Amino acid sequence: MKKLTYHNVCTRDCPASCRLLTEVQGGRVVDVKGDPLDTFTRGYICAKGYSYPERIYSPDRILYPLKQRKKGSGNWERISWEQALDEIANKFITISEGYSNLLPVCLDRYLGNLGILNLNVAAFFLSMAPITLMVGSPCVSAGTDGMTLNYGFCKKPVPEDMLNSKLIIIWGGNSAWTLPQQMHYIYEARKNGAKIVVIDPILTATAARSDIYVNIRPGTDGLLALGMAKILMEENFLDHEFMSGYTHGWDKYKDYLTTIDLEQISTQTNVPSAEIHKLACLYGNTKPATIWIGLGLQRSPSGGQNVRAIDSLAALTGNIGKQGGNVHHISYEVFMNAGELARLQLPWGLASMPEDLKNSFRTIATGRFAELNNLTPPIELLWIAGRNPVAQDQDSDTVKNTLKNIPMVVVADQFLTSSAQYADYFLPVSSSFEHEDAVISYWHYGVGLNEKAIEPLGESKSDFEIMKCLAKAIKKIQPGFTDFPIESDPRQCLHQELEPILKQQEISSIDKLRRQGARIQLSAVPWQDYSFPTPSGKYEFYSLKAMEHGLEPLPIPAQVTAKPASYPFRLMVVRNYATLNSQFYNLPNIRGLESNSTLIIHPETAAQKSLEHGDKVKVYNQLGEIEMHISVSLCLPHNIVVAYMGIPDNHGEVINTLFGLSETDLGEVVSGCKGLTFNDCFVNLVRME
Amino acid sequence: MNDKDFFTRLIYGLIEGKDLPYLAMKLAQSIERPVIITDNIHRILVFQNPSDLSHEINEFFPVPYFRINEEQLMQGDPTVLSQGQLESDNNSITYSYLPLQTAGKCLGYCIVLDACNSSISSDPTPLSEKDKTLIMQAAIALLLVLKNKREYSLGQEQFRDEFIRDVLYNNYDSKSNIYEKADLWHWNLQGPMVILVLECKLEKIRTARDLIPNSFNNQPPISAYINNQLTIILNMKNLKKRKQRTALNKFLSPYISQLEHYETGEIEIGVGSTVSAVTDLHLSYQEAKVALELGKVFNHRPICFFEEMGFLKFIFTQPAMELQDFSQRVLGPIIENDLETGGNLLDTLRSHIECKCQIGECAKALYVHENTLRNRIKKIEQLTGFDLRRVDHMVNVYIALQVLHLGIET
Amino acid sequence: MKSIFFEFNPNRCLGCRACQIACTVNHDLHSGIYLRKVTQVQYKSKDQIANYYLSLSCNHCANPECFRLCPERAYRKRRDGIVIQDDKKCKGCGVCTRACPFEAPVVNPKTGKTIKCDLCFDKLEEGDNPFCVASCPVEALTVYKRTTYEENPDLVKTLPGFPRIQITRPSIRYYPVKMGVQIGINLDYPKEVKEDE
Ligand code: SF4
Ligand code: SF4
Ligand code: SF4
Ligand code: SF4
Repeated sequence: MKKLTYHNVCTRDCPASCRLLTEVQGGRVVDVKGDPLDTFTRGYICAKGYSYPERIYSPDRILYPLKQRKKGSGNWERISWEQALDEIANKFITISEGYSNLLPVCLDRYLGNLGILNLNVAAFFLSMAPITLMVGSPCVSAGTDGMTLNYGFCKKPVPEDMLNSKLIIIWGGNSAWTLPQQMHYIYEARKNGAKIVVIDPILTATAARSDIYVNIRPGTDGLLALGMAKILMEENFLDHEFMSGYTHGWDKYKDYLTTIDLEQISTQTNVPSAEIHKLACLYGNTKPATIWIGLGLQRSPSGGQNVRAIDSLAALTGNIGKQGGNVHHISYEVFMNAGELARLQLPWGLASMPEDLKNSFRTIATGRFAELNNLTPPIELLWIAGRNPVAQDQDSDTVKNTLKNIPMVVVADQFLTSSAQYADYFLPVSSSFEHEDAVISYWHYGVGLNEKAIEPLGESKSDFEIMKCLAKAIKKIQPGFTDFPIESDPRQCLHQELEPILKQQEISSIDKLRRQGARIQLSAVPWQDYSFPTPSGKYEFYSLKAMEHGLEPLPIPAQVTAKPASYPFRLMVVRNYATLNSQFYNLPNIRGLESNSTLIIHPETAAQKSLEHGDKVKVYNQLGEIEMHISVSLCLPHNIVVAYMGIPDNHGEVINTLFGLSETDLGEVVSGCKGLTFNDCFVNLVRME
Repeated sequence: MNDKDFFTRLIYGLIEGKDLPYLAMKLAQSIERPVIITDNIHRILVFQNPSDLSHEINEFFPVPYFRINEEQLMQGDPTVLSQGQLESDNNSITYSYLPLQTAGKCLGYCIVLDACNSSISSDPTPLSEKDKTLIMQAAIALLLVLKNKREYSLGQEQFRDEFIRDVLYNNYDSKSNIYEKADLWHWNLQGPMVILVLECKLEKIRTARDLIPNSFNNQPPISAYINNQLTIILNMKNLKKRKQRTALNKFLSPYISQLEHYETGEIEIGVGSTVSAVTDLHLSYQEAKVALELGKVFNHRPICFFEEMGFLKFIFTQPAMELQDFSQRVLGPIIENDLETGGNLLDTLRSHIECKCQIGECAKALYVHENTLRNRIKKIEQLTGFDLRRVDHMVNVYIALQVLHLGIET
Repeated sequence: MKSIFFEFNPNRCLGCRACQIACTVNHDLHSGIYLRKVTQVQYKSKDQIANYYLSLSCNHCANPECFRLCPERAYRKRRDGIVIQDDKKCKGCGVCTRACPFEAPVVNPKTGKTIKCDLCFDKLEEGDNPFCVASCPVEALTVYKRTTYEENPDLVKTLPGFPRIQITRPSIRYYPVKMGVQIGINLDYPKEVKEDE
């Protein structure tokens, strides 16, 4: 049988946004591989990407609408789309009639699928009377706020700019596992003489391949940066020209730096002061030097200030605006160049919403399910799409209870996720191989068109289709209820979205994007013009805006939280190479990589608790307990235990059960609410027979 | 006969398809002495007119090595001829010889014995100038033949080696296919056979191959060079089981002394079991290779018979990780202790076993007092929890040590 | 005749498992059994922690035990050194899976027969790289062609963590492990878990 090749794009919430070549035989996806023409990835995709055929045809996939008799019972019944949509549509109407507003309707969506058309889910919910929106980002908000306060906006160099660096400091990120394609550029830079430094509490795969690895106590990154700043100042590694012309608040920052005590910083960060000194001198001496701030370090109680402190190193040494210099973190610039839908890409979307519209909505910060549970008017209908809050948000038990309390919970997904288990309706979503879409990478700005390679499996539909059908069902009952365009054609919608990009690149039609892709033309090196959209128009060491948000105007980290006495181990969740948050764990090939649900512990901990590799343990704290198998590793400090993000325990309970609600210092500036921390959770463990 | 004529005749003979024996015979006739041609390892290729020689001359005729100036050889300068003497129990025989050397490589020797046909005289006159000229002329022709032969056989060898490799690695579909090809080289691959695999210094493997004795059990051994090892196939036809080992030893011991003579470095030979059909040769081959590796581990040098390895061979086909875990479990405490205290209990244990658990002997070998040794052994027993006087305990320790050894060696 | 070998560079490998999954999906093994496995190696080395990955499949040994012990004579070693197993001859007895010290052959539950890395020789013959090699984003895993005489003197035959049993004489070659500087690693961790103040 003839094989046809289609062009797809991976829609996972991953910086690589790989363009894929999909081979289809007899209407079935038989092979997925990287597209060698994709400039950034050069055709290299990750283990997840190779697993797509398995994921598409997974026996776990739900292909028909389901209704659950009692939430959490697993007592599902197959129903028709008609029934599902009618019942849900009626709920909208009843709510609107009963409350004379739609605030009891709530939407919780995020980036389970990066396809632009998925933003139509948000567009649908914005097309009616104001509802309750869950806003913010459970992922990056503290870091982006930090960047925004310092620079005025979140920009970064193109990934390939690392090739020009002579020193690359990877601070709190594990590229080897989360963005392996970038390691190619890093290794190439090393070939050209660059040194690679990794700063991380864990000796990650990336750290192990570095030239210098600095083991740091979790959450104290800002302190280390302050120490380095002090040394840069004392050893006069400062770029006075840049500092005097383009920065704000150096005098105050300088005064502060003179007061800090290096020895104290050394104790707090766990890095010997001589080494801090060497590190600072290395950074001061090497030009150009770049810092890549990973997402991990900003998920801590002072994550935002930490990012600000690290940023300040680039400003002090004049690495800003230079080829091979700057700080790599996140870019929001890219979404400015797409159409309206892409701008809805949260969290940036909310901030850019017109003020009056923003005010008419009721907003709840992401993950705050306890709050959601206690509203007047209460939530009657919760729609969850591209999101798995039970596994991803803190305090899973509270999330579950909230889901149980809400009269109608609708989950649109491909699998019966841990959140879907508390849904009343499950709507089957097609995989991105089953409908057309487009993805814009927030890392390398590539724009890829995702073709429809196969027909949707079973009765599954794209999120966009589902919204259109729901709009139709509602309009049948009450025509003026929503102005969501039910006739809107995905093609046309994509065209609208990508038009600015097509124009910029002089590409005649989106079909051209299919084979060649495109990259949004942003300056390869940001801030070359030294014009910073901050209140002072300069890079801000001292930010009044930070003060407005209740923080020190200087990048001074808050005190690190103390550990509750009875829970001696810090639990950190890190990303795994083969899973993305809670996705992919259900596939046998992925599960086979780590045959059990594992907690990684230090040999000393194992000895102390009489545990051996593979033993079963109960991991517990005040919030709950889960059951995992241990694996012993030298790569983490003895007082830390590590689990993979989103991992289910032996009974499908999620690791986030153990995380209490805990906020980062920043997040509100850009995304409207504070972020969530994932490295200040403490647990204990005990052997299970 | 004019000198020129002699040379022309030799070359003409070659054109007619004559070979080494012809050249040697012509030379022997012309100078009226026995002539021996050997190859580079002194194996006799031709012996012309040996009649009435009081010496018994067998496969080899070693002569002292020296290097000549090839320019002189080309110019027929007779001063390159050397003298030698072959001693035996009751008398000795002198000879003149010449290395047949080209491009720095010695391809063989031309040896002229100072003995005459007894019918003529019993006391040979020295070589005349004319004789020497003839020898020098013959040398050129001989060199030509040897060079051709060598090139041809190298080429042939490659084909044969590949063929054997295919047979041994199961790359043939049917027996008849194999026989057909083997016939090309007049090889007999029928009947029971056994495989030997030999390792020595890599740069000497060529020599080792040349040195393989001409015959085993009245058949020429077949050899091949595969994966940096020399593989030898021996035909065991009509050899009773209990005679086989003797025959092999008889074959190997002179071979090994030859190898030692040529300084081929440490030799290790693995011997597979006898298989009855060519299609099972791969088994004997794999066994021979395993035996060779096991021989290194258990110090069965230079020959290790697969069949002698008994249960040890089972142990070493266990998953490698398990073996290492086992070794680590048994010896880990000793190794850790050594690291911590800077002691050397591990070496003590090794010596203890090497000295067959004899305290006195071992103490001497280690230069320590017997009581010191006893204390160390006690410490070892404490650390490992094994009683070294018990056979079942000792077996574990012994194997763990070998596994460790195996890891270190490579 | 040149032989084909895997060469592996632990100083580049990311432990990303792309090779492992690319291999398994392209062999239609969707049940968590693998022809190639990536494993982590870690140990204390002086005052540092060695931490690297090995990506291992069949080593196409010079003395393949799989081949010696298979009762069906399903194995053979090609002239280019690749050890292959003939599906048609295999009866699924599993002897080879136990014979191989590296646990390279596995029984495919779908067919009941053994399957083993064949170095993707069909891809090599077309001039392509094996699936695993082609998927490696950083060229940590590569295939090399050379005669047995031309050993690359920079490479080694084994690394800590590789099952070191040399009886089968694996053909894979490694780059020696290089270690960077590690700061703030405390190998004399306290025997009691201290408070993380
Ligand atoms: S998850 Fe990331 S790296 Fe993997 S295929 Fe998708 S975009 Fe590429
Ligand atoms: S690794 Fe195992 S399966 Fe592969 S050739 Fe060696 S013994 Fe056979
Ligand atoms: S060479 Fe082919 S069969 Fe072998 S591990 Fe790689 S992909 Fe798998
Ligand atoms: S694909 Fe390459 S980098 Fe990734 S695990 Fe395999 S060998 Fe290592």
